Amino acid sequence: MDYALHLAVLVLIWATLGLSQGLISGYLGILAIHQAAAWGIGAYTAALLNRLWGLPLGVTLIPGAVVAGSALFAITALIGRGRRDDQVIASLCVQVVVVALLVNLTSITGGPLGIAGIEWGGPGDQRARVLASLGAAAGLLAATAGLYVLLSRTRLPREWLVMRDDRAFAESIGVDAGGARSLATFLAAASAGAAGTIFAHYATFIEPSTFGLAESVAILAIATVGRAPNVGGVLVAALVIVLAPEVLRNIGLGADVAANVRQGLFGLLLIVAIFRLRR
Amino acid sequence: MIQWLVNFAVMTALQTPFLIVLGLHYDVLRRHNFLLGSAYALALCLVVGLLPSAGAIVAVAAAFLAVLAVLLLSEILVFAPLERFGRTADEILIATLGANILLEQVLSVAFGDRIRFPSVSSEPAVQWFLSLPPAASAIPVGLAILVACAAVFHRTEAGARLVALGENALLFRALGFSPAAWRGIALTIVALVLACSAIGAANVTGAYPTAGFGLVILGFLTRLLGGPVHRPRFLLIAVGVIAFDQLVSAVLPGQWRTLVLFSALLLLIIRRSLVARSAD
Repeated sequence: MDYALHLAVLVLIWATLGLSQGLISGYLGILAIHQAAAWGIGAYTAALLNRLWGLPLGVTLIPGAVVAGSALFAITALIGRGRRDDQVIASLCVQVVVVALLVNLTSITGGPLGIAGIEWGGPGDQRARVLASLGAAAGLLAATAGLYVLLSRTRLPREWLVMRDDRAFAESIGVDAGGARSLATFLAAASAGAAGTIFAHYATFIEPSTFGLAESVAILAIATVGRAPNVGGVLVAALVIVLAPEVLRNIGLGADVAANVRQGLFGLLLIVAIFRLRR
Repeated sequence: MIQWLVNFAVMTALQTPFLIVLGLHYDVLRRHNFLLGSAYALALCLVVGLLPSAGAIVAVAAAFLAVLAVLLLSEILVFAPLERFGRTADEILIATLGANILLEQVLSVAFGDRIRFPSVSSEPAVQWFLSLPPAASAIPVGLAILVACAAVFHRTEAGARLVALGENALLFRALGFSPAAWRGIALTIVALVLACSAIGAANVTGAYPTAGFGLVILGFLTRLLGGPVHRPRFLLIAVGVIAFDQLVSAVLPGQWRTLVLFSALLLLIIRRSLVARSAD
């Protein structure tokens, strides 16, 4: 039962990441591969706040989201006028640079060894922590889905879609293309950052490799294969990503080969996702 | 300093051909391709595996055929259909990243993750006032590849057609040439150069599944700064980018190299974006 709950927490976190990616890849059509970096920034912000001042999940959630959102917002604002393939490469650079910083700034981040002993701020027993994390992850998924609903009541999504299809036309009718892209990136990164804070308090230990390029690729695959903002589709795609290594282990593959097959699956899903992209 | 120059000469000889074929690929197919990184790693793995037992010619031939098969199959089964479906350059770029990850994991399962070298003598090739590593033998290999590439681009009709295809595919087709066939020829050149480069690099860098990823990033940097591959500026920029990378590697610990390299590429893209903004 506890194991099922553990998997459920991970599925909800991955589904949230997939939904948040949908704000960029779905509305703006920019296939950014930096969402794991935003997830990591949120997780490290929460971990540092917890280790330094003992702040619980309820308090670190907002700073985690804001720091992740602001970091990605700033970079996106600078590359907003670039060509689309340049923007993809730039997002790859952001992803790699963030992880490299997490690895190299040893005195702050713990380097490759990461940060251990993160507390969630509630009662000490394991089950309470899992249930609280499950509730928080479900709440965040609902909030991210709710964000889509809220946005749909404004002009923003329509402006984003027009900008995705024809930026020159969008600008001619007064859409601030750079601002729109930065806003979408901020919301997406903030949501991923919040998922990172929940993950950090749940896992109690984080390290840079958890937030690597392969994870960004998986998030993009979840968003496109699951057709974000379709919550059901994203949940199924997240389930596949989370369960794949468990299934591979159960059919007798060694841990190393299972990890290779899992990452290969990310790559394959990405290709499938590009074939399945909606117009 | 002199030792650094020797190492720089070796790495320039080894890496410049890769950067050139990456540029050729972009010019002819009008898109970047991450898969070239793992295709190069495949060539390295095959060369390292076959060189001690089967000899250089068999190793290069096997690497060439394997890389060509990967490039042609990926083009026919994935990238060309995506183009026909109207996918944009950035979408296909993401597909090439997926294909690259897939091949890297296949290599990881088949050959293992650790760096492997062919069994060769570690004695310096020349011991004079400085120590020339055995890898110095890669310099003539690299130079030969560069001269061959220059000859193809500037002295043959095939080279002129490849340049023309890169300049304007529609006019190229209107003149009666088949873009698909000439893209196939370009991929064949790419595979041949990757295989030949691998034979020189096997002793120096060794073979491991992600051996080509950093080179692809160097290639992106070179293409952004250097423009079309057939112009002399591209070669100068390629050498400059390799010098920069070598300098960073010599001065900073390995993990910082990644940070500097990717930050440099990011800054270049930011600069391009800001220039585009001011032009608007």
